[in-house]
Amino acid sequence: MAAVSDDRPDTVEALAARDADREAALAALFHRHHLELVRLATLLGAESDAEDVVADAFCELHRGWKRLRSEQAALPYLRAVIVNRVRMRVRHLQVVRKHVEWVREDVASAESQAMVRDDQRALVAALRDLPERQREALVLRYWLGLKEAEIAEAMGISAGAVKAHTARGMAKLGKTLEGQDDG
Amino acid sequence: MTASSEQRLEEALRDVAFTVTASPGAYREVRSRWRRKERRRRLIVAALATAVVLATNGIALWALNDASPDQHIIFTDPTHAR
Repeated sequence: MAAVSDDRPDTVEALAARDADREAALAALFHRHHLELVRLATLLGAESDAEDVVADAFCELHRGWKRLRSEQAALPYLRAVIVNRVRMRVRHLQVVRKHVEWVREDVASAESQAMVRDDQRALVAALRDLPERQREALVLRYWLGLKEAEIAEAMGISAGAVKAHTARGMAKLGKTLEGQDDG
Repeated sequence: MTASSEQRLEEALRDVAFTVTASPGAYREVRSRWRRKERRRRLIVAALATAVVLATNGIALWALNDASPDQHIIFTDPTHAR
């Protein structure tokens, strides 16, 4: 992967080489993490816009590549952009749904949904009804398996707040799980 | 929340996530999008730079045009100033 900071003088050749390095680094990052990030966006609530959200995140990374502190910061940066974009999209949809009769989209197509058990579908539906911060904290922790500090960076909040959101979210989901166990 | 609940949530998220797929031409689409945005950004920067240069040239020409031919506004020698 190319070095993010480059001390070469700004000649035409250097700028072209820097562009090529950036493209190569982004291509590698894309091929390694694109699907995982689309799934993250979907689980966070981006629904059919998940790929679009991820594409926007990559464009933003392309624009801000020089400002990254290191190559390792690229993936956390993408996650943070995706979390923010999905949050904005969900808020926008909440406003739209207040004014328009809305048929809820499933996380994936009906065909692929058939591969998911009913109890799992109910659990994910309950997850999507949680407040956005709780949902984000739970998805980042239990799907991506991130540490508290990484979740905090992605969500732009403190590690203590992550802990609180996770605990509250799990407590609410616990009721859903108990209902499943009783039923 | 018990460990088994956490495990159930992990499994549910994993199984639902695995139903999500990406379109095959995603990379080409995203790459053309970021290239288009970069071209547009460079075009805007070039247009702004051109506008600034044109504006400063215009102001300078206007100032020179308005000045009296006897008044040397660029190379003024203070010893000859009255």
